[in-house]
Amino acid sequence: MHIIKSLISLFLMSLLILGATSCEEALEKYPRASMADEEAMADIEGIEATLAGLYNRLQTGSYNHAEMNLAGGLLADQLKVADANSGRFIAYPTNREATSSFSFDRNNWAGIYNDINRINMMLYYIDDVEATEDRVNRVKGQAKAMRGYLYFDLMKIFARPPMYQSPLVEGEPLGVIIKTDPFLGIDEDTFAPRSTIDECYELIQDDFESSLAYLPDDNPDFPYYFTDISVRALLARLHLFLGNWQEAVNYAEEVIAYPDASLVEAENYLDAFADAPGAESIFELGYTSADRPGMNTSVQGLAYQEGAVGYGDIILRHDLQELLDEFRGHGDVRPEMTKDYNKEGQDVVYQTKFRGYRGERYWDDIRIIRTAEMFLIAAEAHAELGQFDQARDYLVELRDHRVIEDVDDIQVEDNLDDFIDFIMTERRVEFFSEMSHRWFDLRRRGMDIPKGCPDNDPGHPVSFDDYRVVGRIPNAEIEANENCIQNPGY
Amino acid sequence: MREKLFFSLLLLFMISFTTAVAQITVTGTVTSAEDEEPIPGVSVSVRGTTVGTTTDVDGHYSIEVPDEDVILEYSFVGMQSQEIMVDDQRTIDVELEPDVVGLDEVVVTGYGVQRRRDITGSVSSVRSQEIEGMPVTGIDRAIQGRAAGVQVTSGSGVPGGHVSVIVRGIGSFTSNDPLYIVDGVEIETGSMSGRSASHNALAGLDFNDIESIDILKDAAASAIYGARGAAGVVIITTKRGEEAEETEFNFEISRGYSEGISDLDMLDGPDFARLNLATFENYVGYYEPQREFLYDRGWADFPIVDGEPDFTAEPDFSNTPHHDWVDAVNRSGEVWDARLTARGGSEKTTFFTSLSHNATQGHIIGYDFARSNFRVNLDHQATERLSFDMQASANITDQNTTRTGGAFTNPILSAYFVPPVNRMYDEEGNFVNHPRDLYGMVPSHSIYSVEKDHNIATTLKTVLNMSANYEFTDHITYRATFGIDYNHNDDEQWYDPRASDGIAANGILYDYEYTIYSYQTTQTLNFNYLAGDAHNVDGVVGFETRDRIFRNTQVIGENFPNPHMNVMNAAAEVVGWGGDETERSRRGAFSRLNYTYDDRYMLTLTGRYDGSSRFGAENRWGFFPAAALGWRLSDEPFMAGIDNLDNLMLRLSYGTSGTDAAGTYAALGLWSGGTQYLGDVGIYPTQLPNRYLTWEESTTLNLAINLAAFDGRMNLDVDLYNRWSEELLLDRPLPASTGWTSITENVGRTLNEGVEISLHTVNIQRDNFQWSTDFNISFVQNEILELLPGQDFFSTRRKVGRAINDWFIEQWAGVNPADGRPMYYDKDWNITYNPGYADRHWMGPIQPTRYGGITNELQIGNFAASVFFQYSGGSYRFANHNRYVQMHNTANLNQLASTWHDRWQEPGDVTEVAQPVYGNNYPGEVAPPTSSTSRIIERVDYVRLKEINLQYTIPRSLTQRYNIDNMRIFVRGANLLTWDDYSGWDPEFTGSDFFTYPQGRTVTIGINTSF
Repeated sequence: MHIIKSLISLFLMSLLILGATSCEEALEKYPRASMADEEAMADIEGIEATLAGLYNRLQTGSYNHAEMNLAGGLLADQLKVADANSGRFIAYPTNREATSSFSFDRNNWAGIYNDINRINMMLYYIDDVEATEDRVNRVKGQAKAMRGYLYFDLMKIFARPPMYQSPLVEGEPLGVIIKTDPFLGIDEDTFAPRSTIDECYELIQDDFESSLAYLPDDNPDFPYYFTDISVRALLARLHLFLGNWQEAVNYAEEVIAYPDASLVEAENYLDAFADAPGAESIFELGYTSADRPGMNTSVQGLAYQEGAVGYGDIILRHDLQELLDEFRGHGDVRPEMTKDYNKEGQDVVYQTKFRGYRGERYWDDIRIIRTAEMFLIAAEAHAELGQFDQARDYLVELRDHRVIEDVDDIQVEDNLDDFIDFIMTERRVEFFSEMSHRWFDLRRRGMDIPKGCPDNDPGHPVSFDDYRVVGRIPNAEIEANENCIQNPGY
Repeated sequence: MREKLFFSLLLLFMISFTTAVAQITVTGTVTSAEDEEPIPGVSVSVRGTTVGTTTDVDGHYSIEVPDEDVILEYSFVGMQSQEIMVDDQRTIDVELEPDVVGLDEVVVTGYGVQRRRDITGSVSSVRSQEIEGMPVTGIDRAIQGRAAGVQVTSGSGVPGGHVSVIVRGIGSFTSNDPLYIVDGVEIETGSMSGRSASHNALAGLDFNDIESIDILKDAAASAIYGARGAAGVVIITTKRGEEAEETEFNFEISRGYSEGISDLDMLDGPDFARLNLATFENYVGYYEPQREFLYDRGWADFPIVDGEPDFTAEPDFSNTPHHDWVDAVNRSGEVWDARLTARGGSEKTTFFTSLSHNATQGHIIGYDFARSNFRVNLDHQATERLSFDMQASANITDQNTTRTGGAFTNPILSAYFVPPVNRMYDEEGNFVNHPRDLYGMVPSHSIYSVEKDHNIATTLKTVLNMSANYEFTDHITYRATFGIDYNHNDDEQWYDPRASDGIAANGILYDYEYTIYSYQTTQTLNFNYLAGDAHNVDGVVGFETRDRIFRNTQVIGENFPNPHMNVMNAAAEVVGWGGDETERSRRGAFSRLNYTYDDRYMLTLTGRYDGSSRFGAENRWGFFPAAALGWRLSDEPFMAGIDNLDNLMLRLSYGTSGTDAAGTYAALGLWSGGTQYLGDVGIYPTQLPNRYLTWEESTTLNLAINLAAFDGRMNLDVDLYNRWSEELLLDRPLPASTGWTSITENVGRTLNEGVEISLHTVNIQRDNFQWSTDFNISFVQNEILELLPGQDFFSTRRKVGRAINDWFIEQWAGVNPADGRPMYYDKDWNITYNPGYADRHWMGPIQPTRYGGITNELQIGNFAASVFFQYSGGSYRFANHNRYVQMHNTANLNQLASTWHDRWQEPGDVTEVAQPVYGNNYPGEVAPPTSSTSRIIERVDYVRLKEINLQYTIPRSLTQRYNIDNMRIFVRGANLLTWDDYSGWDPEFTGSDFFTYPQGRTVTIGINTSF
């Protein structure tokens, strides 16, 4: 009896314990939150989702949102950090490297190459998927334009500008590493060296130009995506960097002629930044409540304060304040996009271009290209070509849309130096706390960074030749890639 | 213990068959030689037969034996067994001596038990007596300093917080956590919380329920756990019931008080104001705005000239206020603990059950912990050959860690950061709560936040398992176990809309849930065979499965109508969410064979074949073999003449075990979702595939000697080992230009070399006076032997020839006496003012190279005492807080008192504290200075009086009339004294120290009663 009872129990227990699956089957486990490479790139939906993922990446705080809008201003002579601060960005105003908060170079290198690899994967797989030509072209056009845009940013940060290529990197005018094929896995060994500056700009130009062949002329995705018109604006910017003045003029004028992005009247200019899409926007990154950039990664969080909103760490430098006061004196509305504030005893001035629109904290669309830039590019390129009248016309038209009273003329002599001085100042005022324009403008023209501490603004002038004008390539790249040469000085 | 009990039970069943031939009745009483009290439950059996009984509650027994030539064996847990020839005796009274030798102690070796004297692998054991009643939470913390080769360090002193247990040093880049087995079931460890600063899944286990902890250290011992044995195995065995006529109850209650171990010496208000002004003026010279600011706030006085303050005059700081923020966040910690256990049972069924509750109020505001624990262990003999055992335990912990780490509302951090010129309360006695009211980097009032906010992790852990044992024959037993380990944690973190972290969003609620559950099945066949007198073979073969499911959900809500409506339903906006489920599985077959010849020569062969779902199909399975030899020299004829030698044994083992600590889907190329652009769903690649990914392996060569002498009064164990860890899982850095920053690969090789010594001595053993000492010390050294072919260095703190995670850092060279500037060393050890990346040097190791403990136990009559010192040395600590409280460039944060008093002032001053200059703007410096320099790396050596335990047993004559068998009163102290040079709070932690909650100095008083 006992034996039978025991055996029955034993049998039942064994049944419970021995599962029905085989060992090998039990060890096949797949995630529910992810999918495999083959699955992701198998259809047009996956590739389109990859493109959406890339736009999402462009929005991030460490790239276009907070850092691209603030870092260059801090490195140049536009912005500084308040005495009472949360410790963020404190090395930037004095152009110091090697501090833990210095992420403008480090984050962007890895981040942008990750984006580039995704684009390379899309372009690698796109011809294998079934889809209408329109959908394929939309992906190809936007992906190529975005790759050109990303390489352009890499070059602006990590290489000498195309018109002033020395000091050289170990005797060569080195740009960045060019990758146009995807990196798919462990079996690959593509530890590439840096290409020359000219080769890199050729690639950028080629990406922009070839994207135009795919992007529809009627700009259906304007202004939140790369479109025919925004690529033309980027080409205008690119040729300005390259010193191809006629091409810069041509592209800029094409964009200026585009009706959906005309300059707004001065009375409406302040509102343009409170709207989405903003007036004068040729390309902007759209945000929704699902994005919520947050206090740490938004321009408003870092460069504005009101009560409990914002760290308010980043403020205008004193000499920019003085410049804005001067502009305010002759009726310009642009200085009104600032706010005086007392931050724990210090009188400071904040930007208010990014202050969260429609009452949403930390939530602003980011303007990558605005129409005003095209006017300034056209003016600069015309001046370089000796066409001072045309240059003057563009500057007058821009001023007329920035000053309440009518503007008929501007105070500038007909010579290149005076025009460049005028345009550089105009750009300072037009683009403060936007897209690091000032920093890239000084570099592109081979100018020194005119710092100094006349009124306790921090930092010392940085000569154009200084190694810190070019970003440090992350050490991890140098260590893992013996073919990659570090920029001198680091 | 379990085996003995099981054996006794079996014997009982045999009685019915054997009584017919019994002829002689022997009776008697078994008492303890220690206190002459009767011992119930002693097993009395006839040697070589199945005849046996146990003593009753008064220690009486009666047994029928077949004839006079038999030998009676008397055995009881914790007592030395005795054997007595019956002869013509009919009444045999026996006194059992306490078992101090430990040689007959049973060691749990995984899927079986062995006598300690027979064991060939390397196993450290901690027994219940050593750890019962310690005023700490977490069994992992209870074994600190008590087991050679086992290094226990707290991540913080947070009640219920994380503890790291490292067996024989770190050897892997990825995982150095040992495997934990409780009563045969692998259990989940580590943090279960997504919000708690320091959470420990083991904190819920009540170590008073534990009978023994055995730590398997070398491959010979751990290879039976193949897949997870590489970092050692901690086997926990809980207490079981014993047959008794009367159920024994035990009740214990205690209350303790604690305070933080130490504080830092900070600036007072006036000195802070002095430093503040000097920092500005050393940079730009006379700086009126700051003088005016200090004056306006009432932090500096200036002479009034013509009704206006004359700012050019020397400021007067004598009326500068001082508010002690450090004092304000400290409080008296309290611990309250109560537990009730019952054990007993009948012939067929025995049980052990316990119920306990612990409530701890931390010694810093905002930290609390509570634990409730319930356990039932049952054994049932169903038939002669079939038995069942069952363990069920459930515990719930509630841990509040309002805010920690770098948050400004971390009370510890803010207490040291907030300049002491800031008041805490306004004139009406209300908190100064406006977010921008405080001067300095910390914008918010942490004391107010701690009062309004909370961060509670509520964890339920349940371990249930049931086993059936069936004896096919006397030599072969089948055992089947089914176990469930279920863990659920619910995090609720609340940022009150009135307090600084919640004010901007009008309240934030984080609601996170984590569930981890695993099913384990184990089936084993145990066998033993005695051939003739000399050959003894025993062993086990088995098969095991484990499936683990991890599920989590996170929701973050904002914008609440009212501070008391703080559940997700009241949130106006959901601003963040997440959720995932992952599953992994293991399958394994294993075997161990022990062969003993003549009790002198021992051979153990172990192997396990394991498969893990984490790896690519091509490398999913691994085989882990080990072999060990033992030679008992003391039983050799040539040693026969040596007096007082109980045991002398040499052991040698060699073998391999594995670790599968890769990510759950580490071998697959993956894309993830969860992003969007203007509503279009987005995906992005997250992981490169690596189909070659496979097990980490560690191979151990272990040589050991055990020496026992003087009738158990001395026991010495010495182990020497080399452990090579290979195929290490490492996120190999890729050049970011590939689009990827790393790929998980099997690369690299490390070596751990070590020596472990433990010594147990009974110094005095008299009737009413006993003194024994346990000492252990371990030395361990880790070295990276290989990284990648052609690459011997990663900037992520790995270099061939150094230990894992050594610091790689700029070197501080002091302050230039001529001008007060900070100086650094460059790569060639020349002075530089602009240290760069290339100038860094290595420092380390991060882990201690020696550690151990010494315990002295005294018993004088009814009075018992134990004193336990724990020590550790050779580790290098990153005193991260010093980057902030020992700056010379800030006017924003309060600083160590030395920052002002020892600062450089004039040429010729030799000091470590530079002239304070705002923003470090010393002339000529373009690239300085990261504050992370060797200046804040400190070598840490310490000795700590970890525990004192005093107890007095009230004489039985006084308690017996109330039916109380035993009553003890005890006083315990923990962390009472520490000898160290460390500048921070607690030298015990390793790695980086950033305003970590220090451990408490605790005194506990309690009473324990058995009835």
